[in-house]
Amino acid sequence: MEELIHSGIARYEYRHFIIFGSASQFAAMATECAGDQGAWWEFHDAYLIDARARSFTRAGALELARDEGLDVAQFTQCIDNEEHRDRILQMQQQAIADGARGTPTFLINGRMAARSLDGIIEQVHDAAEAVENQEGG
Amino acid sequence: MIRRIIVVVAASALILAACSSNSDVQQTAQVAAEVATQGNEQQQEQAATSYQAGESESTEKVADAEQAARDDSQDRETAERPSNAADQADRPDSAEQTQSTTGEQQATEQAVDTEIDEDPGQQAEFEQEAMVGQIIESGHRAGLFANRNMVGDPDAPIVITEYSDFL
Repeated sequence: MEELIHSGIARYEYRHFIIFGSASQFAAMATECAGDQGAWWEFHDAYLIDARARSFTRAGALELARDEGLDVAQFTQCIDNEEHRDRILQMQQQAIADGARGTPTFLINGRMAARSLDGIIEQVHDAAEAVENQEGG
Repeated sequence: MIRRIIVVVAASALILAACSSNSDVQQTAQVAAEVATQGNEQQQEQAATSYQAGESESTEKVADAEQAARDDSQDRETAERPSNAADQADRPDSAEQTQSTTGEQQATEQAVDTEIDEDPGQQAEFEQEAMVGQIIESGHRAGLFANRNMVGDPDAPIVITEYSDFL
C-alpha cells in the first residue's frame, strides 16, 4: 500500500466523521485550523497519541499549536470562530451519503471498501492492476 | 477506556492502511478495524442518523456518556469541557444539560463497565499507543506530498479515503 502511494498510483485522504460529539468536533476543527498553517498532519498525529491533544481541551490544542510554532493568535481565532465548521459538516454529510456508518470506514475510488485491512489492501491492489492494464492497453 | 483503546487501535489501522506494509501490524489493525466497527455500530448509527436529520440528540447522548465516562474512570488532570468554541457552537449543548438525567445514568453505567476492565485495558492502551507512536515516528509519510488531509500524488488514479473520528 505504501509502495502504491509512493509510486503515485494511489493517494490517501482522511475525512472527519464525527460520531462522538463535541470533543471530536473540536479536535477536527483544531486540526483544520492547524492545516491553515501547514500543520494538519502534526495535529492529526497528536490527536492519535499526544496526551495534551487527547485531553480534547482548548488549552491542550493551544499548547500544541505553540509547540508546533504556529501563529497562536490566528489559531485561536480560527477555533473560536469555528472557521472550518462548514467544511467538517460537509465531510459529515458526504460520509453519510457515501454510506459510512461507523469508523473507520474506507472507500476506494469512492466505493465502499472491505471492512478488514487485508480486504482493503486486496481491493487497492486490484484497482492498481486495473489502472496498469488500462495504461498498458 | 475501552472506547479509547478501540479508537487508538482503529487509528493505527488508519495509518497502517495508508502507509504500512508490515504484515504483523496489518493483522493487528485489521482486528482493530473490525472491533471498532462492530463495537460501536449501534451508537454510530444513531449518531449518523441524528446528523442526517439535522439534529444531534443521539450524538449528544453518546458525547455526554463519553465525557462523563472519561471524567469518572480516568485520572485526568483536566476535567474541563473540550473547548469554549465547541461548547458554544454545539448548539444542542445547552439542551443537553436539561436532559442530562438519562445521559448521566448511561455515563455512570459506562464508567462502571470501564473500571471493571481497567487493568487489561490500560496495558492494551499503552501497547497500542506505543505502536502508533512508533509508526508515526518512523516517518512513513517522509518524502510524500502531503497537503492538509491528503497524502500522495494529487493526480493519483486511486483514491483511498478514510472516514474517521479522533476520539
